[in-house]
Amino acid sequence: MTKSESLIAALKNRGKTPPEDLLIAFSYNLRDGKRFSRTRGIGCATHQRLYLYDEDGSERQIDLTQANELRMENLVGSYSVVCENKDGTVDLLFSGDMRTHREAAAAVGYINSMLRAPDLAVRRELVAVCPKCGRTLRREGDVCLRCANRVKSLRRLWGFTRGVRGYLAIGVLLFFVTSLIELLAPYVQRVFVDDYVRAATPPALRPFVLIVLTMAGITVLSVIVSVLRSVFITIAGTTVVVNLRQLVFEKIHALSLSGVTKRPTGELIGRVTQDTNVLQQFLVSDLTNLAQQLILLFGVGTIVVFYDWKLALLVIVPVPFVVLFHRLFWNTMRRLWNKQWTFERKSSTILYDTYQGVRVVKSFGMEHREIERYNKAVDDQRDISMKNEQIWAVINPLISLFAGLGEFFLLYYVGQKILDGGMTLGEMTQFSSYVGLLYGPLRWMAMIPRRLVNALTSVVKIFEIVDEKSDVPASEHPVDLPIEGKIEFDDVSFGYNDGQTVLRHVSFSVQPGEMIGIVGKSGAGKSTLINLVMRLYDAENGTIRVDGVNIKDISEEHLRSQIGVVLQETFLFSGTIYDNIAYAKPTATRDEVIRAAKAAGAHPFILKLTDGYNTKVGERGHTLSGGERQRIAIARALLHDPKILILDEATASLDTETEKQLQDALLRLMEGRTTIAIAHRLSTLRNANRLIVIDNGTIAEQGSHDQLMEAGGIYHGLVEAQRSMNQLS
Amino acid sequence: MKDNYGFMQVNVETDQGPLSFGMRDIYRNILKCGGGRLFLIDVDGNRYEIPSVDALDRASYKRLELYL
Ligand SMILES: Nc1ncnc2c1ncn2[C@@H]1O[C@H](COP(=O)(O)OP(=O)(O)OP(=O)(O)O)[C@@H](O)[C@H]1O
Ligand SMILES: [Mg+2]
Repeated sequence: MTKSESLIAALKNRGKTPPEDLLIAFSYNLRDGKRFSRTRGIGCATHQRLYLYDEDGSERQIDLTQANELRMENLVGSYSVVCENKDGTVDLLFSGDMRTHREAAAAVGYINSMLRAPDLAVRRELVAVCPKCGRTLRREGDVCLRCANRVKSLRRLWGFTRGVRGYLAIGVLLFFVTSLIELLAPYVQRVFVDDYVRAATPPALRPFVLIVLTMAGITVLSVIVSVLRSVFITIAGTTVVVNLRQLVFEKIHALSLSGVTKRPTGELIGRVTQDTNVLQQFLVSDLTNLAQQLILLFGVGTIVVFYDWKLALLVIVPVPFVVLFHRLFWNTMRRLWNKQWTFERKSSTILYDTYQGVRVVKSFGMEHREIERYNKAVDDQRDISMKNEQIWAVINPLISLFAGLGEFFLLYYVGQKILDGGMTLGEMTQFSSYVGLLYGPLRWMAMIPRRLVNALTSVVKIFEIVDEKSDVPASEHPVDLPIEGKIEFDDVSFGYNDGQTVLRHVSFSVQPGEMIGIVGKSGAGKSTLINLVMRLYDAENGTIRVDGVNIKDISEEHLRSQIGVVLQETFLFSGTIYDNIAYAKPTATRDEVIRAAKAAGAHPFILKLTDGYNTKVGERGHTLSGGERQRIAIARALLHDPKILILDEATASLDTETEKQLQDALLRLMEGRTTIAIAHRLSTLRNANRLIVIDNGTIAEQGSHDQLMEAGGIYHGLVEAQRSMNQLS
Repeated sequence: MKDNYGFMQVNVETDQGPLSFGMRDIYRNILKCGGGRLFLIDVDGNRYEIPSVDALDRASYKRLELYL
């Protein structure tokens, strides 16, 4: 059942009759701003009207022909949707919390496009739902983590073992051999005891030596086999994990920027390293161990049953209790250890924090407080670990006792049998060894559910990434276009999230070789504009063309290889200065790199560093000053020899003097290149052919400096403000 | 609280009535604000406040404690 079908059904249940010709249906909640009520408000839209059925049973109709635009106001943890009418009035339509945010945002987007182009509106589903549980999914094709088919995922994981299955098979075979040896050992022991130790006549020396040798041989053999086994299994496991890891890493890079940025960095790193590690652990040790333990269990089980079924029964009866007890015990211990871990982490966080922020601590004279804080954390940690150790010390012998309880029964039974003469001492040795062997796998298997769950979760998480579709889908036939540098924006609207609009109806064009300056308040959408040019995101509405070709049809790599950017946040990779400049063009010669550095004004200060171009810049380049980092980034962009150069606050950290020198150098380089420069300091843009003023996501003004000054609008105000600031300083 | 392979279905009693919501990556989605004040963040990004963990009844606290 699709989402709208279920909503319509819900409406009919409430005794309402939704319109026959509805295009979309969605739900909202929080109509009265309160109460987590189970019933939700439901909205339906037709070409002309929006029907709102509130949670309290009331019904409202909004005439969409009178509406100008719907707007979604995003608040913390909630939203509300308002309607801007043609007569300028604004009505509150409905609101909700994050549970219904996605569908409401989609509804607002849909209705707005419909208002603009009514003929194109057709009936549609707004959100995808999980076919099994009916929950809304983040996006079409996402897996519902709740219902993900884990068996299927496991089978896919099995697919990654292609190429190493031979190793795995050998590994399992060797496991088999180990189990056999383990089964054989007690038998030899019995022979040893019965025929030699307790023999009526003193045994001859030769067979005696032989049997000792056999026992030694068995031990040696089992060591050799287990070494071989781990070698094979490790080869198989690491290969699989390396494959998976490379796949996930590649996939992360294939995702669009928003696919990457919407997840916290830690989570992505976690998926590459931790989740694949969990899988390795599972595939390599758990799965194969499971195979061995199962073999052992069945082997011993059969032998014991055939030998004496009454005995077997005695052994098996306590088993469920042992398993149950074991699980109970582990749950308690897990809780305790968890607590201990939290406290340990707490004290190490304090350590880390105070060392990192030692300047702040010292300058505020807070050493004493930090010492106290640390002492308290360490004390807490000591208390809890002491308590845990005590509990462990008590519980651990107890559990062995319980586990061994069955063996006491056994001993009693066997002892009687021996007294009756129904069993020899050797047989008893053999038997109790088998019982010991039996309990091992059982105890181990009590842990299996937990591990299986962990592994399965990781599998699902990894495949979620692997299966994710890119937000900026590649065109069917991407063209490699040698760019001349003409850029056109045609009625472009864009928002990073559903329901958010950062850019509204933006249209402008830039001629090849022109330099455009973009100014506007912080947060106006300037950086967003250039993100769209680079196609880090796709615009929802409108088209962006480069040399007259829609950028969605140009191959991404080819497009970006011809755009050079200096981003607002200069990022340097840890490595040498040389590597950082050459990043965009690894084939560059040393001469080219130095020429680029000179053009960017970076050469003089690089030469002053102890190791020159081979200086390590440290993590994120923190050993350099902000302005130095920016100049390296500019050199990096120039080396690229791009047709389109984008400078986002590229010179903001430089003093005016250095900036001026750099600008003159840049001016020569900008010849023949289309340049888009963003700057707050307006003097930076004095070479620009044309200026575009962005205000609140729209183009407020455009023209040359003189034209804009004459118009006396926003730009004029900005210039005046900066002038008066400069006079003050 | 029911743990289902990393996806947790949480049933709670709130001052606005009973509620059930899903959480994933539970360790990261519990915000601790000191003084026993907690925020639980569900899959959609809603935040639910527990003003004081000490005020919870024992059974609920035990269940929650595992994830703190
Ligand atoms: N990745 C993102 N996800 C969601 N919202 C974003 C994202 N990046 C920017 N925004 C929002 O979009 C709006 C425009 O941001 P943008 O970076 O384009 O501003 P800007 O004009 O470059 O500002 P500044 O001069 O401070 O650099 C801001 O309100 C910002 O909060
Ligand atoms: Mg910016």
